[in-house]
Amino acid sequence: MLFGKLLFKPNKLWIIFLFFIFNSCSKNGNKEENFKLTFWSSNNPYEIAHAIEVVSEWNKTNPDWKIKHQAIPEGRSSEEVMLSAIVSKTTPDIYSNLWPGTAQQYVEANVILRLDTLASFDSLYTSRIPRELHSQFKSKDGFIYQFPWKSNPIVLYYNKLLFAEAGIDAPLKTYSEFFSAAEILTKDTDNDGYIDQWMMDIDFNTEWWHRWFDFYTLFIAASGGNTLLSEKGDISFDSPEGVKVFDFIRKGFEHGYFPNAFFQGDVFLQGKVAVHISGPWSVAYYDKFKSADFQYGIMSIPVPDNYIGESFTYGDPKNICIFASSNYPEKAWEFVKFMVSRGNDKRLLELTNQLPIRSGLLHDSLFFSYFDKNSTYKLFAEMIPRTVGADRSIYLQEIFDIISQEFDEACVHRLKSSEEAITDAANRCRNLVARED
Amino acid sequence: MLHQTRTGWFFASPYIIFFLLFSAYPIIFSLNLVFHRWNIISPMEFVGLENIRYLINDPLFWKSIKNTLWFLFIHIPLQVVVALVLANTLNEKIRGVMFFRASFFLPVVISGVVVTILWKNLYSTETGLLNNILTLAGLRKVPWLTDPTWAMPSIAIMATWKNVGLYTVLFLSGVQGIPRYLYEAAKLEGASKFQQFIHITIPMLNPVLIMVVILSTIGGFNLFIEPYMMTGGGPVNSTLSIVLYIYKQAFSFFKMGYAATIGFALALIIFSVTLIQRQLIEKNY
Repeated sequence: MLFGKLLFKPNKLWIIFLFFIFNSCSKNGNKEENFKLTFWSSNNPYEIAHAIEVVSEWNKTNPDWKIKHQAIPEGRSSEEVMLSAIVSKTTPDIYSNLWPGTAQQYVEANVILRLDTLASFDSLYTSRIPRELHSQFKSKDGFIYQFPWKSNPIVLYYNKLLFAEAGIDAPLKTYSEFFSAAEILTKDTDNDGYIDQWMMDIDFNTEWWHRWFDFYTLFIAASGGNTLLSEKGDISFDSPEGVKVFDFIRKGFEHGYFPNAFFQGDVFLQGKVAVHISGPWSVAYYDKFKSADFQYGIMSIPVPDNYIGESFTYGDPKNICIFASSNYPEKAWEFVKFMVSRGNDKRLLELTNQLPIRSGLLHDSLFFSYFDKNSTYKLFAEMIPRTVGADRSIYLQEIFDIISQEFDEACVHRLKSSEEAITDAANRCRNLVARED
Repeated sequence: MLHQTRTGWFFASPYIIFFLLFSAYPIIFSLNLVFHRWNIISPMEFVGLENIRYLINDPLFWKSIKNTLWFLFIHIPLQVVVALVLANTLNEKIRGVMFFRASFFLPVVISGVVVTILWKNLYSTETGLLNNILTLAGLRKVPWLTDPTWAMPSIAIMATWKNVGLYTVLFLSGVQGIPRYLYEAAKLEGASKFQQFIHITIPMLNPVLIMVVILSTIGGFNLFIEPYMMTGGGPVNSTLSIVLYIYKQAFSFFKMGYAATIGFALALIIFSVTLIQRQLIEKNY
């Protein structure tokens, strides 16, 4: 009866409808603590645990400037999620999972704050960040918008047992040494006519970011630390080193040293591949899931035979930024300084096994106990000054996509030569930049 | 009268609001995007016909059309034939017919993501069930998803398995609506089962056939989850569908203007192909 009356008196129904709308839109903040700043961390469980501890300590000592921590919402990539947050104006004040490759885009859209104007930035930056990396995190305009936080140097993991059985000594420093080992380690173990043990797996998925862990890492190593673009921002990977890297991957697929197949499960732990390319995050994973007799070692990225110099690698850095939408940027900066303090760097190591970008990490007594207990990570820590991040280009993802397409065509399917593919990739990238600029 | 009009508008308003918010506004907004460059976080920049000009000269756009048409060429006939055969079989008086009807319909209601993960494992070159069966039979392994020649047909087979249940149900309802006396008369004239199928069942199913072909075509043009999950558009862009290309432009490279341009081109293609299909099928039957 009541429903019938309401149904035929639209004005009353509208009032109820609007009541529900407004009620559902009202803020429920009065039921929560009064947070003035928000902080988004990465959403892997180790980093969440780290962020919770850091934030809880901050909140204890700064009751008037409490921070609300939240892991970045789930999405296909954190870049996509951040973009949605920017568009919907729901960005946090502080974000700690910034990939430098996207930073330039945020800088040009004026959505992140310039940090080098904030109090004591210079002293913190120069004292904390290894000198070799100082210029790496500058934006195109020469200013700094991201605080370098942690690095994940990419290395080769190898199966010690397979190497020992084959009489191969690690490390394999050059491409020749690598392929000599590949010749022995790639085989048909059950004599059914099919290879079932390979030298190394390369994820040939053409999604752009997969090239970070093969072409880009190998290119950095082969070129002594160069990135895809020159200092001026010109495309520069169409060099002899670029061709050598394509040749290296191509040879791996052509001779069957790298499987051209999808697998279920972890092929490295299953002993199907002798070598796997990855970052320090794999140590904890392998230690947790390896069988009792599985042993692995770490070696740096192989380089062309004529390469002379130190070994470089991709650092897969993740940095901290403050969004321009923050109402309290100075206080947010205070929190960033707290987060990158020595004590919290130690916490980062212990809880996440990820390496802070910090000068003298191995010579600071605070970290001795950690590295004594976790000697594997010493090798990664030593590499940090020789890691390279990402170029400052708003087209970087598309540049990687173009390289990925040419990689697929030349290296995996051998439909064109390495020289042609590198030249085509560089020309396509130049056309892209010319067209979009 | 005025009261009635207001009540009418009131009842229609939910749909009108929904339509304006979620259909009309996005279409107009997208049309506007065709003439702009926009990366979501920076202001829109008017570029005139630049996106259309680039579309015409973009080899990957044409490649994605070619791939999608190749998919349709395999998928639609396969789907229609399998659905027709299944519908006729499931119309017979066989034991457990309800079980079989439910079984063939099951993949339709399973999430596309789950189905693609399942089939990706089945298609695995080294460890997949299909290649294990082939090697047991003494045949060579097939690089189902890693070879440019095999990848799209493999996806088409999987898509057919996923969707055929729906079209089987449509054909089944059509078959059950054909008057029995037509078959009885044909039988008296000495027509075989096959002749009855060709000369009675198929012509009588013409309206359903048109619907199935048109729905399959529209569904096929929207091919996305399968290549996105299974191949990422590779190998060598051989499974890059139009919708996957739109997705990459919009959400990997944040080129909303260009993505909208491809979207409108796709809408135009679907409209034209559907129109041609409809006229051809209606003319032939």
